[in-house]
Amino acid sequence: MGTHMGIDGTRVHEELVMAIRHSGRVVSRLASATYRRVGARGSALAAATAAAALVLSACGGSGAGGGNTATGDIKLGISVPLSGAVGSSCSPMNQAMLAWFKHVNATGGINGHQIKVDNRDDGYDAARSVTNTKAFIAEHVVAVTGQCGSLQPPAQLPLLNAAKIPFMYVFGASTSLLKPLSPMYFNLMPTYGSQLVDEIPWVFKAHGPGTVALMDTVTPDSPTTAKQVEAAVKAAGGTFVGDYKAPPGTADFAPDVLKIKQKHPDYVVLDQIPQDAARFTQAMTDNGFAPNKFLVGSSAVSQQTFLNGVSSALQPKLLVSSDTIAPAGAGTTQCESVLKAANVKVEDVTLRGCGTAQVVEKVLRTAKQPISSQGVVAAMESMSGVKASEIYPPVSFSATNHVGVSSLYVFGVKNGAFYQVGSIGG
Amino acid sequence: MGLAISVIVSGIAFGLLIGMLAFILVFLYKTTGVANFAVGNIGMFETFIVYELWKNGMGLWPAAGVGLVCSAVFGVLIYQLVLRPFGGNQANTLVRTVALFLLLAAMADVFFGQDQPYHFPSLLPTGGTKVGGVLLRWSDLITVGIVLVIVTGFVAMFRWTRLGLQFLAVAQRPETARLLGVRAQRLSTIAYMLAGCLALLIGLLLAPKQLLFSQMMNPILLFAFAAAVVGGFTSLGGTFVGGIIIGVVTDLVTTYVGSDLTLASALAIMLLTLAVRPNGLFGTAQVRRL
Repeated sequence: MGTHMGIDGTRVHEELVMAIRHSGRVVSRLASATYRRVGARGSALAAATAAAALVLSACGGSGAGGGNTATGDIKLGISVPLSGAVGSSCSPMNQAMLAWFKHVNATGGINGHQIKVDNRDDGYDAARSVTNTKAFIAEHVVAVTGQCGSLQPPAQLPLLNAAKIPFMYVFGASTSLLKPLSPMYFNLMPTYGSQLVDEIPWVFKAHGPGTVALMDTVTPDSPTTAKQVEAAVKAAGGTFVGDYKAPPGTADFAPDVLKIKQKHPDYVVLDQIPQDAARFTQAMTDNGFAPNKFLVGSSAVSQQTFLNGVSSALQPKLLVSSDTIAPAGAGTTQCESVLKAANVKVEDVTLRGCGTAQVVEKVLRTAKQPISSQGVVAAMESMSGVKASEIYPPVSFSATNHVGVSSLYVFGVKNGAFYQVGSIGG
Repeated sequence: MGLAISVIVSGIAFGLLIGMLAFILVFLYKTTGVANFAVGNIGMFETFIVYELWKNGMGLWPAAGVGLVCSAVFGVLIYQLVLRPFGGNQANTLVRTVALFLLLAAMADVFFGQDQPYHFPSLLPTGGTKVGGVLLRWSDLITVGIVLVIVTGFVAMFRWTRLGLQFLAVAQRPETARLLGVRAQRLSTIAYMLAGCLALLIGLLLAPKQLLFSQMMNPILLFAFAAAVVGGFTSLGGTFVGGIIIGVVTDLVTTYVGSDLTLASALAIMLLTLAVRPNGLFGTAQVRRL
């Protein structure tokens, strides 16, 4: 293999230079910039950088979607936080999804085809989720599902849109992915903002209007949610007293609690990740503060892991919305028996995982054979009022609506567990 | 004004916990010559052990007592099995502490992490008393007492006991100390035994406020390093002053400016201290003869 002399005197293999020249302007510019900057010892690094760019650009844009593998298996990709700030909340959900898919495979698969899941940890990190997504695209998965979190989906979706692979049923709030509508993005759960917008009038109707303070975890969606909540409070006859923000993993919530305490609000609305919400409520207890009426939350905090961190004094003041049934209502479901057989604890987040997997199964069974990404999208967009899961209300999608659930359950707390006190919509 | 005073009081309480973690960092630095990145997670892991004992039926105080004994042994094991073998220079040991930090977090996730975070009961009484409209929590007042006892005890040890003198000798002149008959490795073992116990104490004080989970100490660790720099890496008492400064300033910034700048304000204080007093507020310059 011959070598070329680079601009700065470095030597580069001839074939690599040819590949770089033919691969496109971006890669060439990257390679040129790298050549200009590095010295002789950096030539290997420069070559590796250019080669990596080649590989990455190849992975990003085939645009053909995925289909069954050569053996007829249906390949799904799951990138999910199994570690990191929300790992403890998302990992059980993931285990439940895998348990249901294993059950489907054990009972004959989808029309005789087995579901194969490439399950990867992204640690609640957008960059890692992108790496995982590129791998899924290279593997030609039929769909990507099972994501949990708000930080990762905005990074993953552009790749999946370009590859025409559906991104199904994220447990997280990403308003920016729904407006404008993304062709490949389908969600079961309404965004946390829209849940709170629907919940606030319900709470005011049941318990009277009042003053409302909002406690936020800073995420890409939190400014939008804050505006939605403020508008909903005012429209329902209440008074919005402030939006208080804290980054994920905040060490000390005492300053925020003390600020909110000064306002003596009737309601405190929680728009936080579960661990931060639990620690925030702990700081409330430590500082002798509780809202006059209720703590209001969305499905982000309708989890036992959150409830376990809330003091017994505050638990009766909790009202949360959820798009899935409470564990107390799951006694006769197949999900409960499958989860128990797989030694997965039956709780809110695992029922959500199992229910989500049931909806995925329904879509795969409905899609035209042989299963393809386009077929999965078409199957979803034709679903109207379908009871696809024991855990979710009936789901409906269309070409212009990619949020499947339109009604919510409202939970209170009794004896340390969530139970249904009402419903919204439906 | 009431809000400002409440925030300052809260900041002092938070700062004392930061200061305790910084104290262990400085103590290990003074006695072994290496700042240990893993001290926070050592405390976290030990607290999980106490939690498991309590969850399985042991009373909280007996579980804490057993945990204290286990922590002393754990500290010794960490030094003997992770930090001491194969020699190596300070950089090598520092990297090992980073690896230990990551390993302990991963192990906590594997063994204990299924349903975290956990509500951890407090060893200290809850509630408090109001003084001029400001709530003073009993737990915070007792923490102040604990801190005073620890600082007094350690300062006395370093100043007036043979053991303390040997610690200082090994930290400043390890080779000379060895030549004079000081058993450096024995001293380092004792240092880690004490550090293990102190780390558990921090975990037991912090877990009721922060909830018990594998990353419980991460937000505090950075503040603790800042507190150690501000107080001076050679001053044990300075760590608590540094912690209080960091705690109060960050809480005031959170309250009146915004939480976006909380961490930045701690780092700004650290940089300012390094610029104005490179050895920290109470540190002394380290002089080396070439």
